[in-house]
Amino acid sequence: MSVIEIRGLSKRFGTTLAVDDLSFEVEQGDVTGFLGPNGAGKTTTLRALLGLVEPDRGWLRLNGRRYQDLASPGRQVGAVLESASFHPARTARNHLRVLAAVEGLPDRRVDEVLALVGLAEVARGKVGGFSFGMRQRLGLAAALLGDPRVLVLDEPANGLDPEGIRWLREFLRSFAGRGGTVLISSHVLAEIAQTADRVVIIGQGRKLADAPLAELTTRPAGPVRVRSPQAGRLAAALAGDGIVVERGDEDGLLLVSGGSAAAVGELAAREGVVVHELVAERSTLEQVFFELTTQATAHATSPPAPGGPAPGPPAAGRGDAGEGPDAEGGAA
Amino acid sequence: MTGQIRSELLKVRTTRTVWALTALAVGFVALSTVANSYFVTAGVQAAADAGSAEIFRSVLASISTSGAQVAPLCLGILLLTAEFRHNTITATLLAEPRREVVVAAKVVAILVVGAGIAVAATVVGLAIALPWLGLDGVAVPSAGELPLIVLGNFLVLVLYGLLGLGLGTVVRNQVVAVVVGVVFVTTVEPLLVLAITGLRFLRPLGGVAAYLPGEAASALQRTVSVAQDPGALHQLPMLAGGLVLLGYGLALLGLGTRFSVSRDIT
Repeated sequence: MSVIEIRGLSKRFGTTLAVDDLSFEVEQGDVTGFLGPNGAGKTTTLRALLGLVEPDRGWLRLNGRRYQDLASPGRQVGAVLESASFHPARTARNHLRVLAAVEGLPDRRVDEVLALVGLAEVARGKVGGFSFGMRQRLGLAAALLGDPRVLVLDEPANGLDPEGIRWLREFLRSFAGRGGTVLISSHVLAEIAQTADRVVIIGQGRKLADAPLAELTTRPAGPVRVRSPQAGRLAAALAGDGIVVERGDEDGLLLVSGGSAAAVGELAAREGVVVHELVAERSTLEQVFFELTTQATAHATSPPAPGGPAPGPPAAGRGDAGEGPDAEGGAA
Repeated sequence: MTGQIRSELLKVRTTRTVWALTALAVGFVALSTVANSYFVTAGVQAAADAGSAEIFRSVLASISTSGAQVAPLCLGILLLTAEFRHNTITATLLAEPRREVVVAAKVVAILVVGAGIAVAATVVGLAIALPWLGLDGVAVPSAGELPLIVLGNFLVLVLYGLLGLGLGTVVRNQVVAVVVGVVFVTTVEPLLVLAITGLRFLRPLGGVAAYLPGEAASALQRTVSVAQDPGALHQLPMLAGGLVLLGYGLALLGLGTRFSVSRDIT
């Protein structure tokens, strides 16, 4: 079941098209990473989803409704936005009490979430004296107040120390494990690689990829690396099978293209060659990210003349990255 | 809605601004009541000429227009503009995404808080004026008059709070809104009235001037504002003055909610 649906979202700020016909869905129980370079439109998308920004076009739904139409939104959706902000003269506890009052939540719940994010000790300290990481934790505490089943997080790891990042990762995993749904934007790709089930990558406001993380990162990337003390013999055998071999820059290292790791291993066994290392390099999320986003930027730097024909689908991503089937958009 | 109102009142209570502004208001009321009581009773002629109701009206006008009206005005302005200044508007709208509900809750909050400031100002004003005027032999006006004077000043303070909130919804920038509000109330408007009453060729505007917020406040207090010249300005009846002041607040709120509060929060 789709907990979050975004269909045909477009939003223009002045002359900048921040989001351009973006569609994707987030399934229940998934952690979906939402990636893109700065200015790609991530924050605008999340803010439109949460009713803070009025979309020019698009259909945005959380639990089947517009955010503005949710009954008790704080009990259904928790959100942390990039510019999480606080009145500097208010204490952390009072900041949360103000928000808790909207849903009629008791002060007990405020103290619970403060303890959960590790701010119990400084609950009565003014937010003005908080570090960036503490503010980020307070933002998370606010999102968790209503015990929501859906979290929308914009760069939540920003400013957290390594301990905080690990805590967040474990929290999100257990949250999703209990059936919760998470949409999380981040520029810390390693974080997303460890946390997300699915990844949506955007650039220049358009979707570049939308696929399970595993699908994106199991594609072989580059040649197979083989290290052998008998590299010469192995290279000759491989070449004899019509497989392209290059010498690596280190002694005994071969870079094999045109053959899988399995093929190389079987050949080595047949020939009785000792192999010290055999690695089929997979693409990392980072590689996929840069591959897709640089393509998008390249397209964008040569824009068509105004009114001229569009230069084909901009960087629709590679076939296997899978541009999800565009759902029929409708004005909300 | 009740949750949102509770949240708004908690916002006011959890920073010191409200206490500072209430102290400011009370200070203005005390100073001005003392000064007014002194001058009214020191001028033997004036005291003899004016009836006691008129003396009470002019002395007790200190409760609301001594500068004390700036407190609810600023508090009203801050209620919304502080949210934009510190970006707490994001958290507020995530908790209650219907912006008109947020504005409505703030209206209730400023009415409650304005009433609180008005109670403090009234208590201080009466505590000074009643014994002072009594010692000087000014009789307490006949039944019904004193409560009416108190009510008029009370409403002036409450309605200035609403006016401030309205201004804050239209002008989201906190510094600009406070400067515009305070300078208009304390400088621009008195100068306008002075010009209209003092300059012969502006006299025909007297009827229009009666609809300025400060003049509407004078109508609620039933005092003549700047020039002690009853012929210079037309004054609205008390009820009309109250409605005019209320009208300003509601008009600004309507404009601001429609065109300013509704904008994207980026």
